[in-house]
Amino acid sequence: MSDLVTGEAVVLDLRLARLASRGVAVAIDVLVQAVVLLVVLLLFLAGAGSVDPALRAAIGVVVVAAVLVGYPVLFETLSRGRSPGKAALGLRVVRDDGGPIRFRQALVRGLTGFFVDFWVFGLLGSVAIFVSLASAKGKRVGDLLAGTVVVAERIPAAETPAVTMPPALAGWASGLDVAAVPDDLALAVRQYLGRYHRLDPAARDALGARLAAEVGGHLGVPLPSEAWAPHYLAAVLAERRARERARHAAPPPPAGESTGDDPFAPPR
Amino acid sequence: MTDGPGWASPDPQPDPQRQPSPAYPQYPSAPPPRAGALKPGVIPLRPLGVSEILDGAISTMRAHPKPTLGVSAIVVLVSELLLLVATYPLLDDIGRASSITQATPPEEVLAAFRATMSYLGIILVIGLPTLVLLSGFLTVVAGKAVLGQPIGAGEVWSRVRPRLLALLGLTMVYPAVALGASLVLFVLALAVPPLAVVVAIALVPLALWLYVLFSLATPALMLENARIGAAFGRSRKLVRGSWWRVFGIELLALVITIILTLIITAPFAYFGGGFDQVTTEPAPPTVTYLILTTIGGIIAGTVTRPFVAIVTALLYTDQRMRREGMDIELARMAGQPPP
Repeated sequence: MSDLVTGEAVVLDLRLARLASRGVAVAIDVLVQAVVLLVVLLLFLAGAGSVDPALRAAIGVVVVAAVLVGYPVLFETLSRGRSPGKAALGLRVVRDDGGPIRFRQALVRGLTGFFVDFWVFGLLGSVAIFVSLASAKGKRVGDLLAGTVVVAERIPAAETPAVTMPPALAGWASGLDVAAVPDDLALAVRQYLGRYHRLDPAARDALGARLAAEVGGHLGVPLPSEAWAPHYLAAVLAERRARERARHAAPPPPAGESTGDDPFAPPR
Repeated sequence: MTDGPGWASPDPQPDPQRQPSPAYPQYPSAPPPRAGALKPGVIPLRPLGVSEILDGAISTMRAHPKPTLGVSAIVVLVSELLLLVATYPLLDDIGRASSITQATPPEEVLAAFRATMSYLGIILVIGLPTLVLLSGFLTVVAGKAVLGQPIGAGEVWSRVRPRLLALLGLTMVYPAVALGASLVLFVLALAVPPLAVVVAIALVPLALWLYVLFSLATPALMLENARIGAAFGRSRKLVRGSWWRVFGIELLALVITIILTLIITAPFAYFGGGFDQVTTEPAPPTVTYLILTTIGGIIAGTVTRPFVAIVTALLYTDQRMRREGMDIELARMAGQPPP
């Protein structure tokens, strides 16, 4: 299910960023660059009256290159792969093996972006769009040359709420065979309880009744009342967790015959 | 539903017939639960982030290029060519509309007006049905891609065909309501002009609110096999409470669509001489320009139409998971661990 594998064949749990989110990030960066260029242009016009035309042209080229190439290279080098647009979208440039990028990769990406992907021969970004669509990992030409890939770092946090035992049901739950509830069902119940308050009431009750029926089937004890399904589910889950914890807290059973106290004893 | 109960609307009343399932012995060594979310298709089955929805649409297009990009290319090609042929005779008159002044004789003004109106009419008659057809098809493709079911164009089409008329009706509700509102506004403007202005200003946010509230009706209609009224009701139920989220994601998708279209069509417009008009006199478009911009439009539409339709379908899926716990249901059905 993961998109990224390191050189050591370790599968990384990272999600590749695709054209859509990368496009928004680029749009934000272009907007910032445009504002910078505009400000520089205005400053320049204010004090440009006495400057030699050749010098003016030279300064213009240097400024445009500095903003369009220098901006991504500077930010991606200093922040290890996050230009302001990428930071806004929660994206990061990493090497193909998942490691952080350095100046080398940032420079290749920046130069290729300026010349091939977006501006000089890029038809305003058409090249980047179609190369990214055609690439299995959503790479533009700069990524292909630099050996980098853009990943999404901001993944919604998993909801793992602490389930507490309803006090009124503690006695009832202690007599149950909660080990009969399989792990995947317990996980589903925990998900359900964690999202309980955000679910639509009708769907919530239907799903609760369904899960309660399934849990009841495993326990061999039908749950008493459908209206109280979440409480019974919470009781079963809390009891299951309490027993699991008790089992792990207990001292490990003696591991058979001891081979003797002296590690240097000759083999028998 | 022909292919599994995955998209069926949740039953508000628990079925009294439903018995607890007996505890059948599982496989001797069941696989341990994984840490990650269940991911049968293109997206993980858990509440999604914004960029996951947007990128999920691109992933879907990449994972199933034939039923998304291929079908979209064919439909857009046919509809753009039809439009080009049907509107070509009108273009002279429309071009003249941009140079209307006080001195223009009234017949010419009338001709330009009539041409513009028929142009819009042709776009509505040809463009709307093809758009509806395509978005219905792509919605079903997205639904199958999310569940990881195999996607065959023929099978998808056999599911789309019986729903097509309902989908057309659902889509026609928007122009009908807009037309009705503007008629009321027109009458009001004749009677009490100041009040009409106030009402018009108030109508804009209202229209936007309603549009977003009912924007998930198409996936509800196609994937739940709901009727038109029920589909609107389902959309309202799913969007209510997270209106701003749905609005924001749809706005972002719209912005991406516009940027993509601009970037893809700009080179064609440039080589067709479309940018010359900035510096010279406005002139009616040349044949080269028309052909090139049509090609650009076909390429842009091929990419953007699946994107919009699939984003809507994924947004619907996300709301189903957030509001109704569909991911938990699906995980139970699959007999696999949920996230």
